[in-house]
Amino acid sequence: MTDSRDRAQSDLVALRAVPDLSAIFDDHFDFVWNALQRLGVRPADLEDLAHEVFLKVQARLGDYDSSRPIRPWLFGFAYRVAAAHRRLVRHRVEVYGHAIEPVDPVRLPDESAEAQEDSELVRNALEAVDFDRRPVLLLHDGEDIPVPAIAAELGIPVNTAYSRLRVAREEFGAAIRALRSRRRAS
Amino acid sequence: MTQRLVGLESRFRLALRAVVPAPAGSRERVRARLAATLSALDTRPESAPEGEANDGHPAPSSPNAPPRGGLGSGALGAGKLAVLALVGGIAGAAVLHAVGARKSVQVVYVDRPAVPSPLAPTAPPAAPPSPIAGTWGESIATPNGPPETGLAGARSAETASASAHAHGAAASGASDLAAERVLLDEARTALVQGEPQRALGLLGRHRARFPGGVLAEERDAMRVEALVGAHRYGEARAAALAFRAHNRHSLFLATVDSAVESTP
Repeated sequence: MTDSRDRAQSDLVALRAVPDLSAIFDDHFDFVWNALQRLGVRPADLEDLAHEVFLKVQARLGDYDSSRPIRPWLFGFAYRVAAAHRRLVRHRVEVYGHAIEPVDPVRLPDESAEAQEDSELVRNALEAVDFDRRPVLLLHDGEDIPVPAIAAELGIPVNTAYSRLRVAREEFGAAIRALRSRRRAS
Repeated sequence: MTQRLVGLESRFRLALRAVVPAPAGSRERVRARLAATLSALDTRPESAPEGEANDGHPAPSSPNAPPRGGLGSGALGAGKLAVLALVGGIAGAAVLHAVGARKSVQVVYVDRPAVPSPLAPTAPPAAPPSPIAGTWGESIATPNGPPETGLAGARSAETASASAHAHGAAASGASDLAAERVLLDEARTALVQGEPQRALGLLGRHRARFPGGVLAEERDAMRVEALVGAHRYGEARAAALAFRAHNRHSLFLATVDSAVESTP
């Protein structure tokens, strides 16, 4: 018990010594986790990739402009990490070993069954949105970030961002309707 | 750009905006690993670890680089570095021990631009499409087998077993959808790269594998574009007519019409 307390204490000291990283981690861990999940990262890989995201955040803390909202900035890291991981996963085949255990999705105590279903449906529908278009949808319609700011964060032309948003909405809306139809039919 | 997800109920927009807490323990495990890694990194030479080569972004240049790690920097003597390296190693080992050994999965890497077969477990034959045409959902084959029982179970969701079914079914549905997405992404890439024949081949594979897939409508719309790209104008026009007949309210109609209008 004492060991684990000491370890937690030393972890805290190490994080606090890095300017702002500890606060960023505390405030935005769930956001980064959700972003990775919505970018299609498998449950078994989420912890590894969240760890990688915060390492990269630490390396770039000096670049952060505190006058700008932090979530798009963090999302940019999550997107690039997820994209790199996606390229690897496409070439990966698992053999022999044990199956990876899925992480049970967290349910808030007061979350209704309907809200849980909606949350699951949205996650599945996002899979139908092209990977490169998904960030624009998530940041604009999920976070109310203006399209020009998203374009700047992702390093794409503003018109491209608008175009991606339009098509992503079509894909997302169509997938929601299709998945709901399936549910109704079942 | 004030337009929102037109036509979608507000509850789905809310679900898109919701930040769901990560599973219990994840935050603590990641925090511990992060602290251990930062401790270890702090003892390495400046040029070492944080480059972003694998995501296409350059490593931070020295002037912009933030202070490294948290356990001191710059004026560390060799002795202190050695101590820190040792501490970092011990911390890492302790964290690994605390987190517990993960079940080992042997992973091999193969060189193939493939649709990952693990993503798409063999599904039972799809039921014939619903005779009712006209909307997205109605033009899609009614699925059968485990997914329905699972999702139905989730709806009534009183028992643990129903919950478990729902979870499995959702995972399976998501896997199929991901596999569909991969195929259509490849087809779209081929189309954009001026390889309509390859796109048509991939779309054919999608059709064979997911005749009533969630993305069937997008596939059929893309097929019209690919046929136009392959200069098979007659087939493109016929495919466009069929698409319009079966998907009268499709969001992809504009794309299909635009493709056909470009034919001579």
